Amino acid sequence: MKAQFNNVYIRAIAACSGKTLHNVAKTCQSFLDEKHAARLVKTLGFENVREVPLTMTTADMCVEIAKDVITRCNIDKDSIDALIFVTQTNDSVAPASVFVMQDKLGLSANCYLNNITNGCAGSVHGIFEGACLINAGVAKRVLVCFGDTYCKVKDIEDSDQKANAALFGDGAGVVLLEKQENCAPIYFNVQAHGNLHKVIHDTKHSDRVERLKKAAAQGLVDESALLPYQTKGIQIEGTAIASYAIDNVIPNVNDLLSLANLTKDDVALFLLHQANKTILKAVALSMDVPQEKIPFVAQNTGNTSSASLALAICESHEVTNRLKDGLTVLSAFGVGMNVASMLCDLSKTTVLEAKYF
Amino acid sequence: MTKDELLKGIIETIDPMDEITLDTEIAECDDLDSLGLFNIVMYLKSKGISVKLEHLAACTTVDELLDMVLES
Repeated sequence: MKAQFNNVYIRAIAACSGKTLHNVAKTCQSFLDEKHAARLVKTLGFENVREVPLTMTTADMCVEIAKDVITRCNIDKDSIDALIFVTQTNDSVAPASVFVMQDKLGLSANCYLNNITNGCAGSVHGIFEGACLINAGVAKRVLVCFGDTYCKVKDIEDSDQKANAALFGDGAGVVLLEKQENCAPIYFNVQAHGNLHKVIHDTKHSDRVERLKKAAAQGLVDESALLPYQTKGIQIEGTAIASYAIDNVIPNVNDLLSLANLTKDDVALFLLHQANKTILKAVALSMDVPQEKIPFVAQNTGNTSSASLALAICESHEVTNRLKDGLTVLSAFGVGMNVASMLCDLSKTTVLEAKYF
Repeated sequence: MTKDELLKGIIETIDPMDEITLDTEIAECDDLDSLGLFNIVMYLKSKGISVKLEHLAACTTVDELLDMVLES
């Protein structure tokens, strides 16, 4: 789905992660020798991954930084027309986390709530949803929250893919959208490739698995029906993700530029989901764009799922400064698989310094 | 491009931790895992050579991989 909005302003961006830093090379030496652990760090690019306290959830992180955004922008909570929360790590199945967040933020009963399940593409996906509400004329101010508690350091023993501990960190982000007539346009290109749903999967808390187990126990299906679900922890096909970035993300970004009648030379910064260093390097090479325009800045944070773009903006002065140089493409991609890209002017957006819990 | 030049370019690209020779078996070499092969695909692309990742992964040895690339 492609769209252009001329009345949506990105007022503020905030992000957070954990104070606790896990050194990846050291962590991986619990299941790799020193040489191979160093190689994993070199390939993925994460020297450290961050973790929030176990007492904190994604919703908690978002509430804290949403409060900061509300204070910093000096806005009346009752003026927030919609709260969108995108995550894979909800507090509970029921109620959806967004209801609890509404309560904790003290938002009006008239505030529209939407709790969306999505991973790494979730930030731009959520911003798109919020922009649609504003463009439709039903909202003037939307808070978009996103993130995951995906740090896998404590799950090493309980996982088939221990290398995930070298990859993921905890993180959350908040974007405040406002209606503003005749502001700089924002363009979106949002695509989904559900035929690739097996590339990344995690069957924890799966209703399908629970039901199949009961069906097998009652002899309604053969035990073999459960075989595909006997993996432990998140399963990732690294090669397929790398190929997805080249085969789908790049064309998605190119189509976005065509939508705006622009070329890559008109863009000051291509900020991609910080999946890993190798993928970003490959995208820069394939797009024939200098690496500094497609920066990898998450070396001390980890892949923080949907929070990665917001964290890159709020953590990295290199990125924050580049926002003022001209147009920015934000491109997030991941589990589903799906890719959501947006072209926008963030030069006047308030960027809050990243917060660490 | 000769086979030696190609091998040199690939080695420079992936910067392996262990020695890679023509006899290196791909499945046994950690430097030639999925991301390593992906980096090779990108390197070849920069040289104007288009090869699918799955075709590289299907090769048994580095020698076979280089022959496949040179024939493509």
